[in-house]
Amino acid sequence: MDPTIPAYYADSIPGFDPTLIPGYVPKYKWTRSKYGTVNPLVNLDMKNRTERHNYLIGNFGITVNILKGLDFINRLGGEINYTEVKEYEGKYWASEVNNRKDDRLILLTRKAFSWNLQNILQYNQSFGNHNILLMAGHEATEWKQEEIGGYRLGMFSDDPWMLYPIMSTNDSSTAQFVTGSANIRSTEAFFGRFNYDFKGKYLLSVNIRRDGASNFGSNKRWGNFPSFSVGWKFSEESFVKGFEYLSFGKIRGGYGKTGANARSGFPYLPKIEPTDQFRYSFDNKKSYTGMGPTQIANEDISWESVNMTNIGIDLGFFSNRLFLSADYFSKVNDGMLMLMEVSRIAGTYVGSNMASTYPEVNIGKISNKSFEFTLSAKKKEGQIKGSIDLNLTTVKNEVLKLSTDSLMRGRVHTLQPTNITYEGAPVAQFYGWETDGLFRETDPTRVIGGKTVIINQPFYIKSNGDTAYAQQLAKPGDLRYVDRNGDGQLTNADRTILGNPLPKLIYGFTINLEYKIFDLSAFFNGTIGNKILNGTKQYLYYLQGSGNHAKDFTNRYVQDDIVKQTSTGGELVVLRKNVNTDLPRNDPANYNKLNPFYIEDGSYFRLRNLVLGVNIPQNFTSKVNIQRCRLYFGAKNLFAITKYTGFSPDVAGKSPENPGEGILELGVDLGIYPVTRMYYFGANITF
Amino acid sequence: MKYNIFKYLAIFITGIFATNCSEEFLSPEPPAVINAGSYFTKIEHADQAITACYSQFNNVAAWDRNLIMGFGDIASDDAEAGGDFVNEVPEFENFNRLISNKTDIMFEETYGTLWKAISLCNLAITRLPNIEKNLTDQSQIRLLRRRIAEAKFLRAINYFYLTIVFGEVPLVDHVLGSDEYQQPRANLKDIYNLIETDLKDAIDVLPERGESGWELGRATKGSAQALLARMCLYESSYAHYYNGQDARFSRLTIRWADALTYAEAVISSGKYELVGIDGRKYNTWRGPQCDGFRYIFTSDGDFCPEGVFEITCLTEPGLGYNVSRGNALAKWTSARYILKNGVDGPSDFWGLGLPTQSLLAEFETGDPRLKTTMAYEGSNDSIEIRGGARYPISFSHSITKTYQRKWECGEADWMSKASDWPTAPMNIRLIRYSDVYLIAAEAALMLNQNDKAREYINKVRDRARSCGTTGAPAPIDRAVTIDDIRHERRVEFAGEGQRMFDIVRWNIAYDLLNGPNADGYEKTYVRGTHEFQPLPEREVALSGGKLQQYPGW
Repeated sequence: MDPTIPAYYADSIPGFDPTLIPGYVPKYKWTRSKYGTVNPLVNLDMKNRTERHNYLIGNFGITVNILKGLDFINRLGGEINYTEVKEYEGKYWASEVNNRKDDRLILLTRKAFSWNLQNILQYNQSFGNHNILLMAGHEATEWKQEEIGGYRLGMFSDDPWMLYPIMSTNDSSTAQFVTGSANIRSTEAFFGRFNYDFKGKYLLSVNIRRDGASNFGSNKRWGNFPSFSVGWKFSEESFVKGFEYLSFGKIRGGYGKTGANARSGFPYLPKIEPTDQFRYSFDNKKSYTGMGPTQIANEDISWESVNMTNIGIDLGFFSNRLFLSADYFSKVNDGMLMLMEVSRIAGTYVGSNMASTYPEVNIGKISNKSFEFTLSAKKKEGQIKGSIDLNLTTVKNEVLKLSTDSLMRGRVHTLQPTNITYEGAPVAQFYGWETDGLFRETDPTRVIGGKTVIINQPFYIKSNGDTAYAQQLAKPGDLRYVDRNGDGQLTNADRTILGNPLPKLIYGFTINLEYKIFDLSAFFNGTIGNKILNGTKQYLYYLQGSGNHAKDFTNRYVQDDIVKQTSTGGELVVLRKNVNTDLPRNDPANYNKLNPFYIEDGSYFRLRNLVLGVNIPQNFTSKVNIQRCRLYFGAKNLFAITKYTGFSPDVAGKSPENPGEGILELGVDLGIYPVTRMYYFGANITF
Repeated sequence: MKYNIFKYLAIFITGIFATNCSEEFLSPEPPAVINAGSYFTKIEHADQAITACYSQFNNVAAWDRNLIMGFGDIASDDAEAGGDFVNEVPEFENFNRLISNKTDIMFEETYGTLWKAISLCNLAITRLPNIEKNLTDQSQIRLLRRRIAEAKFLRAINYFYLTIVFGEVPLVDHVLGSDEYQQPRANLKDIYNLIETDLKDAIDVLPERGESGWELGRATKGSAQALLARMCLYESSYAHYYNGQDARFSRLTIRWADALTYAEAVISSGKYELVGIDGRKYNTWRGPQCDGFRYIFTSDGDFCPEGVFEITCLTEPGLGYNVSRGNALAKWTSARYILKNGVDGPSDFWGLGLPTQSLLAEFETGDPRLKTTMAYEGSNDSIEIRGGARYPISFSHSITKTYQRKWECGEADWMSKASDWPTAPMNIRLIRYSDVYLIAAEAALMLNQNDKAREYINKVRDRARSCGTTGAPAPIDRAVTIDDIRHERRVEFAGEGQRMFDIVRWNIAYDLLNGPNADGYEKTYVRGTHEFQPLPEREVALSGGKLQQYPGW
């Protein structure tokens, strides 16, 4: 919406005709943009929606001591989640396409019931300095959900105590609607554990788990997931006792494999469902619901295994006033589960607002390696007390295996795909065309077939002897794309990697200072080395349709003065000729290829939080019977240092650590809601 | 004692759940979905599956907007993108300028919708025959066979539209396995062979229009014959007019005789009628004296004998866009501006797909079809807007100084038939009877049966003449030429999404489209590129290199 348009019309709504909705008197007069878009306030004003979530959670457990050190443990947990949604929308008229002739009451009830049961036999015993734990167990879980919902039109009144489906006399079949669905999921696991330590100095733990899930077909249902870890608290050893400044030291390492369950329900099953997308009418009087497949089945789907290896060291000095940890992590997601995009020839297209029909598959193997350092130090000097905590994480991501050549995902308006993932490279790198400046009016030209063509650019000779230029239609002010493979044509084969959305380093540090009654705390964080695809540029530099534009867009290449007729018949120069610029002219057909213009450095350094506190001295507070009183003033997101020109560099909400749909289209900024700056003030009072 | 109670309780609870823990526990019956493996056993399942095959016509974006208004008309010399101002809808302006953007959603919507229908048909054609062994009642067996024949017709028509928009596409005649999702383009001849086989099967089984048991909105024998005639006409045209110059058409053969045979089969069935040829007037929302040609383009003309195959139309509350359909063309193409008391104001229609001046000039003086087709500056036309008021059309925002009128829809229709989604109630007449005559006329001409060609083209002109009072268009009383056919098709089907496909098959698009649009934009038509639209870029990316854009896209 144009920010200069007020929220409501002052007098009447243009185009509103009282006969359209008999008996309706406009209460709100929402404005519309020049292009007919209604102010989004309409939703806020008209929709009255309540959601009630009721949880009932119960746990029950028994431990039976059978012999000394031998326990039988039984745990039973259950959860009932009962959700009620009630939404009422009254009659309104905001525009010819945005209105409601009959008021509508929507009701939805969802009940979910889940339980889990564990039976564990555990033996825990110490033999001198040897401590042993042996454990074997079984676990089962089940989750069931049912839903019923519907609507009714033409309510008796909009009073809240009248909003029940019975309170309508509109009995026509189109004025009421009921639907409902159900879902179920179960898992089962057997597991065992062996823990051993000697004097708490040498530590060993071995685990084995066998997991089964209803989401997988009967032949692929079970997966085995072992793990072990070892540790050595060397500060307990006599040979280090001499180093007095060393207060703690431990080396640890381990390997573990865990399983990740499928996301969709029964992905191995070829499902047929009666959904709205399969309706048709044969006589224009009544429509029939057809039945069709709703998800491509993958009979071979099985567990994704997450393999974690880590080695680390913890060191504490000077009674742990200085503490250092260093870790190396390797995490490999093998058989990663993901909805796989499949060609439309398999019938995967669904019209608007409908779920995906893509099969869920074990798509590949992705590795994440990282070093992580944390350092904390405390110091007291007279009345000044200070501490600092620092953490640094390096990120190295690589796709080890992929069941297909490459996966290209992401879309910003006309840029598609935006990211590419293939074996041997990090996930989701930006993929597009390089550019080499603009075509200029000084470039040599030739007239071909009655049209002026710029000729200092790649070309090839067609079979009929004609010369074809890579950008035959280019005009001065257009971007020159690089013909990387030198075939004289501009094709998909000329695309290359334009950047990596993953940072090389993620860091954060906190500083705490105390002086007399004052305390100060500041938390900074940031990333280094990641790129962001500034998708907002696709809209702000794309002069089409009805959107708003970037201020800098006025600095674009303009070949001739742009002149507009004024209402009085005069002429107004809207934009002067401007050829000394690197911003391309306004021809979307030319710059709708993903190119470095959209890719920006996403590194940032941000003050996330700053708090200043003051403890009111007790000799004041005790007079009013207050033991302790601390007043504080804080600010969040005070500043960020970044070269990124979009709203906010905090784009990478999708992390490669949590594989899932988003991982293949990282770092694409579609105009995220920027982090807000916040000031706050508070008091802690103890009586 | 207390201790023992808990002990037994624990064992008891464990016992209850332990009985559950088995393969059975991990194989719950999936609630509220059907396993495709156990489906397709009853005649009802055949009905449900075929309803789904038809359902994809509900995608108004793919059919009304893209196939008919966009690729069929705006891309051609018949229409400009239009709207409030030039480039209001950039995707259409791109078709109009021959710079289609292969990532625009229009391509994916269209390609995806047609393929979705084909995949539903593939499933039905593969699985429905298995139902027959469960049936004993002969009438049910006949019904089942008819349903399968409908699926074949639907597979054919969806493939046909794929080939005229995108050229060669993959050929898929079964439910794809997981290692078959990447397919190259198939040769057009192979796709035409599948279309032909399907349509011949459908012709054998489907009932004639009006036969007992026939339902209004379903495919008939006539639908299949007409589509096969159209396909033979296209195949012959590509073979004849490109004459080996374009490798994509190299295996196609000239079969005017087949086109004529199938078109004449529809004509000789006697089931259809050139509505209005007898001068009859019809009562519609426009009034009691509506001429036949105008009547075809009102909701009152739904399922009239002019319709050889129609997309049905029913808007239902609660069902959204692309699920429940109205005819979206009314909203999108009707005049955008009206004069209220001499002042320009919006009509709430969108004014897209503006007819060009060259289309206007194509109409013979006094041809009554012009008034039904378009309004133009000086035509003194008015339009009924929502609320029922009627205002003069204003051309202040129309770059061509014209608007389409074929799909207009009156207030009575909006109120009585359309509901939530503001699209008009009016079927899309995908194959009209006059098309069958003009296919026959063109095929006869190419077979040097000029008398026959003249008889058929004059039928269409007779009907047009009977719908007016001017005596135009006069019957042709000399040898018919291909230019007569081209002229007649252009004025008869303007706004119905046929022009671009026609001028491409006649290989005259290069001559007609090179040059300026109404806004002065200079178009460049490149042979080998602009005959067809680009494939959705996403499909190329997913194909592992097997699917290639045509050069230039």
